[in-house]
Amino acid sequence: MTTVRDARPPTGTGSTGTRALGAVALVLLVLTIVYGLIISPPDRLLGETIRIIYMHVPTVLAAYAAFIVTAVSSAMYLWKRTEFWDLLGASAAEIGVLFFGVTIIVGAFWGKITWGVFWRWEPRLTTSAVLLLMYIGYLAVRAVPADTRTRATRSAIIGLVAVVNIPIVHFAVDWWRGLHQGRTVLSTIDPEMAGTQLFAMYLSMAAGIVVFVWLLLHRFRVAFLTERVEETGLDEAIAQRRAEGVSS
Amino acid sequence: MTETTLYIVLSWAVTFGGIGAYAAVTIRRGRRLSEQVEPQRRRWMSSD
Repeated sequence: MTTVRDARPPTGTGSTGTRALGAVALVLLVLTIVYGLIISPPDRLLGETIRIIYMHVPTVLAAYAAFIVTAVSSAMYLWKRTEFWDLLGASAAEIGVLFFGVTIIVGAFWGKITWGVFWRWEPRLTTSAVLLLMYIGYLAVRAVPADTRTRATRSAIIGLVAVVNIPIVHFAVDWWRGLHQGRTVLSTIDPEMAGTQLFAMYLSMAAGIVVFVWLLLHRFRVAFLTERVEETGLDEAIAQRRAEGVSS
Repeated sequence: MTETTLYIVLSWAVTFGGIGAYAAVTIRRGRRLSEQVEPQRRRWMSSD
């Protein structure tokens, strides 16, 4: 018996796993909106601006996770030299740039309310700008025309060098005196934070990580499909040249 | 609307809007590309 599925194979980058993960992400995002914007009370020190922190912290956490995936993939590529690690590293880097860009924009809004300016060249912000520029550089290097192996090797080296910036950004608030508040991610969140606020914060962090993993799966599959389409184009061009050679 | 409320709304809009737009572009790109690749080469489809 022919089913609709047999007649028309599914298209896209979705699978049972990504659909399940997407559903979890949606639930977490809805809960984050409810807790972050409605249920959570204003913070004793930060006031209503804590609602900006509910977006700032999860995006930076996801960005760090993405850049670490890029570094691990880069190391694995240099060792194994397989397409999988190259594409995984590149996919994670692109998502990391997106999340980190959002982190910086959202942080600038918080800075405008708290400090009166969107940007200050203080240690945490300056090191963050350098980190973002390094990963934009990583993506730019991948866009430079080169054979697949050369492109992968160049970007893997950058992926390994750039990740060194993460601890510098993270500890900048401890090492140098600046305007930015102390460490939040991978450290104790404000111990004065009330139960609901803490729950909203962890909820938003969980949502950020699940969205990142979901996006990474889709982006990796897009990268994989792009390679297959390019291969097909190359094969067709070679076949056409051969046919031209035979006919002449 | 106070300045604080404005920046809170902007923060959530930039986060959800930016990441949502990227997700939509990625999914659409995937659909377009997968039409050009044979189903057996899209290995993740086996889990459907």
